[in-house]
Amino acid sequence: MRRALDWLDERTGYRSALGHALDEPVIGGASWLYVFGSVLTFILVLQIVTGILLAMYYSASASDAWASVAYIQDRVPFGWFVRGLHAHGASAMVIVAGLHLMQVATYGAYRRPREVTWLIGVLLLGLILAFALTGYLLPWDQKGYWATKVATGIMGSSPVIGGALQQFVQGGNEYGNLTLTRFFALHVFVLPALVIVGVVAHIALFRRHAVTPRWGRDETWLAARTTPFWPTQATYDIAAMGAAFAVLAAITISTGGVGLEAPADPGSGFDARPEWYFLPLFQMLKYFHGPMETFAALGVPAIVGGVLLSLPFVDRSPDRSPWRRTPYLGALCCIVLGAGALIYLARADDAADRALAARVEQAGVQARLARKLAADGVPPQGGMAVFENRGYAAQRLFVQHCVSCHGAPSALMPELADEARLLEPAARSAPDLDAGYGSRAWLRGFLANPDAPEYMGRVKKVQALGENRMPPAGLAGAELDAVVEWLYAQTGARDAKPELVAQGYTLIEEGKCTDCHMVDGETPDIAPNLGERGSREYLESFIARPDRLRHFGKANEMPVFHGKLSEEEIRALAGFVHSLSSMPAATGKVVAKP
Amino acid sequence: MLNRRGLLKLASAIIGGAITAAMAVPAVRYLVFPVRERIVGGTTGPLAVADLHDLPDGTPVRVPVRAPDQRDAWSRSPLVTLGAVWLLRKGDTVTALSATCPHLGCSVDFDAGAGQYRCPCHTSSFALDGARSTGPAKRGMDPISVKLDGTRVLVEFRRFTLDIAARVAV
Repeated sequence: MRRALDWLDERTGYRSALGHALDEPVIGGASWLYVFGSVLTFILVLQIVTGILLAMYYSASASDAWASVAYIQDRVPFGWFVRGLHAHGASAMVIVAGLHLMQVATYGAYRRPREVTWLIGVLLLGLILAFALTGYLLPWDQKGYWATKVATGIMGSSPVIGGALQQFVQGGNEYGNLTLTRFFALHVFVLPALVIVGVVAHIALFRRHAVTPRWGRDETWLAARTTPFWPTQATYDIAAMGAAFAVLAAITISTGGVGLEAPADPGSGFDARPEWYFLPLFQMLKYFHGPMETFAALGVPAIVGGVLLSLPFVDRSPDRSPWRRTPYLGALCCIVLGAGALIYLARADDAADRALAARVEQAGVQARLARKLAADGVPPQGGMAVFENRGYAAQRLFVQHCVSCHGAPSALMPELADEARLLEPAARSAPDLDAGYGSRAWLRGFLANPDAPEYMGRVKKVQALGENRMPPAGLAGAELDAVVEWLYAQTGARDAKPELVAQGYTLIEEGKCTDCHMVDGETPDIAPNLGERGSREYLESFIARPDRLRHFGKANEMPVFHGKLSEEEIRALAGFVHSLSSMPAATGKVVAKP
Repeated sequence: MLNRRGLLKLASAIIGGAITAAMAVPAVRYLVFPVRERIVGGTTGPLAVADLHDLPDGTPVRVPVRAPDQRDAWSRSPLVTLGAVWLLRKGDTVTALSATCPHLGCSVDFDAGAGQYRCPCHTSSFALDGARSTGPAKRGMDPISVKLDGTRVLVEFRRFTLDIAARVAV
């Protein structure tokens, strides 16, 4: 081993390089206050590692981004942990950068000859915020989408080049694939490259000028206590990194990672809130209106940046003691306290808003539902299409358009139960549409008593027909079985028994049914045509135009949905109603007995 | 006995090791997840690829194999092309060969003039029944099982390990 290392050292000189790194003199001795820079570098490395891991599964396209993040979150082992560390790591960067900045400022470490180190540090802080801004959009969920829209909107409002700048950043006139690919390229290539260059320069300059010890210590005092970086300061640094990692991991585990909202829906409303460190800007926009809005959104950050950058050039007092530099440190404290106060106000505003809490709760329901549905795979149209899984979209249409007359079926997904309960009428005015609708049992019940409330009993126009309305079929035994089977076969059921169907057809043709009903699926008569009754195509036609002569004609009282819903929506709705037939009837809901 | 320097060194090593281990275990589990996992897949069973009447007698025809519903990690897509097969009808019977060259996976062409299959990449050639004639391929073209449902031609699409003499489905 030793020989191998000697061989390596002879060719690379790694021992002297390591020695150079570890033997750096820490003037005045090691201090816990010097750990922030190392901890920041450690978190940066952690961000790079978790970022690379995330990129192994992430897809930067408007149709795939949300689905790929949901996959990381819910399907890939420890995906939630990696993503949680990355997101909370971003917050940690801001906090530790703030502490680092305050320590450096308090010690007056930005002063001659360390001005450039400070300037690069301030620029690095800006880059950390740019990372946060670009990363927030990448999951393409409601939160990232709407919050980033505000950010690019602010960009668009900047003077002269605003509009062009916004289109450049978002990659065109609207949010889409190019917005994501641009934000992704910035987040994973451009910003990391800039940060790495910045950090290398920052550390190299730091090594050139060494640490700035506490003020008021004379040279001999400091020289007597100066120790090499290794082992004391290095151990302090590593211990602080361990503590930072432990806190980050603990927060990630206790919060179950970071949230993922429902997929971005440009047609919805969403209460966009930025990450906590952008809340001061968010809050200021509530107070500044009109032309002052641009000032708040762009001018204030520019002023803060300007104050930070100019600090080493205006603070030229001979003494480094903080008590002699109160105007400068006071300005910094004002910025920090002001930002803190604005964050508090933003949080307090939201906490007091009950309507907001309800909307947030509802958004949470949508998010959980979307992630549950994503387990079946997200359709190629993109994240929002996940709501088509398991017939959710169709069931939602049913709740919105059918429940108020037909009542809520017991077969609804639990996520729709609340909405359905709200719309459930005190008294239904149309036939029940519940699990088992269109099944053999349902048909039997109908033939036995068409006027039962769960069938046509509540339909006023039908009841108004008086003697002309349909009487009970008066069938029993094998005849009833055969007629039911023929009607059942019309629904497109694959398990209909062909022999029985043929018998049923003969009975219908020769019996009383055809006195009022035609059976070819087209020709109108005084009662609805029975051909293909209950099939998907029939239900589509029926829902679109129940007043067609082949359906109810003048006796129709159901709303016409043609023109109100799109063809796809009507098809989806028909699909759901059709599927009711094969669902097991819930007890007490469908009255018909087999 | 450890001196102060040794103690600090040990403490650093323990903390550094703990951080590395705490990250390494999730990271490795996270990264190896796709191994032995059916990330891409979907409908199993025979897939309709052609109608018997559309196939000429005695001349191979290349047809794409499409899955009606295909999962690929997070997405689920309809009508995804899985690959292609060469169908050869003789009277009422149809045989199928995978269009994937058993050598290194290029797509095999049919040379109508020579009446044999040729791989455009490394010049393997195969007889009409798929048997290897010349070239670096270590086995003949891979047969795919065919079923007829009336006049519909259905195939059980499979993939096989490349560049070995034995035929091993993957």
